[in-house]
Amino acid sequence: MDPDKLDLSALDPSREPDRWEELVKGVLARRARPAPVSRVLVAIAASWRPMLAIAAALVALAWAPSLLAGAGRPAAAAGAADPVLSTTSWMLQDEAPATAEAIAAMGADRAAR
Amino acid sequence: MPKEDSNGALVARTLSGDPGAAEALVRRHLRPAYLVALAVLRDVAEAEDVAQDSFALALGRLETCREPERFAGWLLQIVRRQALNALERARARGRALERAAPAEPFARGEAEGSALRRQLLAAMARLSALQREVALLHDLEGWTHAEIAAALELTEVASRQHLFQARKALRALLEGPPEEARDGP
Repeated sequence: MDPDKLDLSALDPSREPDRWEELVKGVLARRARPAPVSRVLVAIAASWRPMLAIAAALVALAWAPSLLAGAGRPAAAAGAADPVLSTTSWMLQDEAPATAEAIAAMGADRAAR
Repeated sequence: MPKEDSNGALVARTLSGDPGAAEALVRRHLRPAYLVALAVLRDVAEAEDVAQDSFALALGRLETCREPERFAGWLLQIVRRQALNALERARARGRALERAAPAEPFARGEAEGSALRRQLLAAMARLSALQREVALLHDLEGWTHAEIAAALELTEVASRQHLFQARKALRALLEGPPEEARDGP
């Protein structure tokens, strides 16, 4: 018997046998759940930003011909938004552009050619 | 050959698909897992959740436990990491887990027990997480310093020192003068 021992029994999780039994069963139930891979896929799907991905893909498609032709990055037309800056800005701000903005970014490429 | 109910034997049987062995591991080690989570989080409901999740995670990757006889230490490392992650997530969400009162007390309606638990958790907030772990595992779970040292990767001397400091601080806080007297001029 240790006379210096503190009485911490108020923190004992098994003071309530029924509740403790629930916790034990809870572990076994959680273990029986689907593999973590499915949880990861759900998390990825939940955090996916489809609009941003679609907008970035459309701009990349609009740019592809000039890049493949070796034209490099064309200067943005006067008054038009620079597509690279626009796309970067959307990504940094983590927001999907308005439809008009996405179209303008694609059109800027054509206007510059 | 490990004894039939040793950690090593239970781990081996769990890996071979014996549900009874898995349950035996849970019954043997969930309490210390919960206490380590509580030492880090100081919140009953969060500690329950983290202990359950960590244990389920550990069982799911049991084949990576290289020393099955030292299952407890391996499990507690997972619990501590998960608890620290939970703490980080809570802080990132702007929700500090600094409260002393549990969100969902164990004993609903057991006012006296709840009050004492709140008092203990509030006093424990003044200790380091390691001091809390050692105090809970020694004075509540009944582990020896050798067991604590092995599980928490400390020396036995360090374990004794942490316990000494924790007891001294807790006694001073719990047996000290009442709030009114401390707040006086």
